[in-house]
Amino acid sequence: MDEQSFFGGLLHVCYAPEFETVEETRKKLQERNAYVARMTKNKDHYVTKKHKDAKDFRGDFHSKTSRFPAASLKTSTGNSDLCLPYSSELPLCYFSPKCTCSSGEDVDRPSDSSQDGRNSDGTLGHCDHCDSLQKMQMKTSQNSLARRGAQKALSPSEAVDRFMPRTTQLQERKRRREDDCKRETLLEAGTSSNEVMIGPQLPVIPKVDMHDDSLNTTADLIRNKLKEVISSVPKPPEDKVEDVPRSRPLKQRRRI
Amino acid sequence: MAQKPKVDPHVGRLGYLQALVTEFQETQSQDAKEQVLANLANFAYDPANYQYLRQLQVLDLFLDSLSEENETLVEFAIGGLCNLCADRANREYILQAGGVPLIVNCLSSPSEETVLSAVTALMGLGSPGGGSHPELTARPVVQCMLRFSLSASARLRNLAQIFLEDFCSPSQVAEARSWRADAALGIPLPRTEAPQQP
Repeated sequence: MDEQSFFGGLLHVCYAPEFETVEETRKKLQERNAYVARMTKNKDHYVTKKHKDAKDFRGDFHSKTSRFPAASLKTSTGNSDLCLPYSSELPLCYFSPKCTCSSGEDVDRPSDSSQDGRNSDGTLGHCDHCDSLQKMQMKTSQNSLARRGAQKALSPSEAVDRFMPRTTQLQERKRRREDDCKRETLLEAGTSSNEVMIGPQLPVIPKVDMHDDSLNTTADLIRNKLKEVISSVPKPPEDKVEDVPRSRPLKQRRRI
Repeated sequence: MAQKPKVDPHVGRLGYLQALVTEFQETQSQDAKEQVLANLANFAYDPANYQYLRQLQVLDLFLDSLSEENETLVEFAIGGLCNLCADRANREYILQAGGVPLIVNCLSSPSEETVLSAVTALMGLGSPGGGSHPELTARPVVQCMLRFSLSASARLRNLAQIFLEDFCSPSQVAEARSWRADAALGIPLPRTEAPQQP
């Protein structure tokens, strides 16, 4: 794609991780870690100072001088007032206090901007991404500003108080974590039993109806035997495995 | 839908992120959930947001979402975690919250992007040169990385190799390589060099 002609010009590709060497990837990750360490170190100083100022501060905001617009916040009376921008497909109004609102704002903008954020050439969420994702992120946050009037808002402490983690999911996660711990304990105790397999799995042989009782019985016997073999010690089974009519698995796992 | 958004333009970063989190929890629309999670994952790239994301328990939200049935949500959640792991405080939090097994599970995902993010996240949680959390260098994980180091995908191959070289000791790699090398289970490791890629 690099140097390809595109509408009379030439494309210049600057992000192609599939063409990186191991060393380049390593360097990129190290740079990312160094950048984050630097930023969080600086931020610690800034945040300490900001907390001192914010307590006396009410009703004002800065947009140009401060990276974090100081919040002018009032108590919110009910959670139903809070905007659900993606559900209602309406843009949000944040960050830029000077923006003016118009009722004719394109309702698709948040979807588009978040679409950009989501589909930016596979750059989502991967710390391989450097400038492209940062720019995309800023674009996502800034372009989705609606030009609306003042609305109800939350104070920082109340914002935190109102957030409740989804207890059911957290409980489920905790339960799974406990199960994993138990499983690990068992594994450490006796590694001769089933070993945890991580990574790409062999395709699961689906149950196929052979439309004949005797064939189905044979297929079931073979399937059970295979399961037995897979779950036991690593002695490759004998004849019957080769006779298995392996049908195409329904869900292909990624193969190496 | 003619509702006007009722958000104060003066609301800062925390309020904005709070609104996203609230929407994620309250919406019934899968599409909206995906969009919100995508945005949170992108915001997780910027260190300026870390304190707010921790305050809003977004780390738990991401860890939570790894168990979702929707593969897209899993992909975005692990992407967010991968971004966050670069920070020491986030790293500590994820380790203490039992995030390692959840992230290790993502190595088995059919989505390549999910696997890539999971490998990168594990590296983010580890300590190069030794001293990593024992779960990170458990034998099944190292074996998995050995298989990944033979992958047709260059990105996966590179990341797996870095994991093995920088986060595992030579003895851990040797032990994983030799363990049940003749097993019918899984893909046997080659004795010599990696096969030629088509």
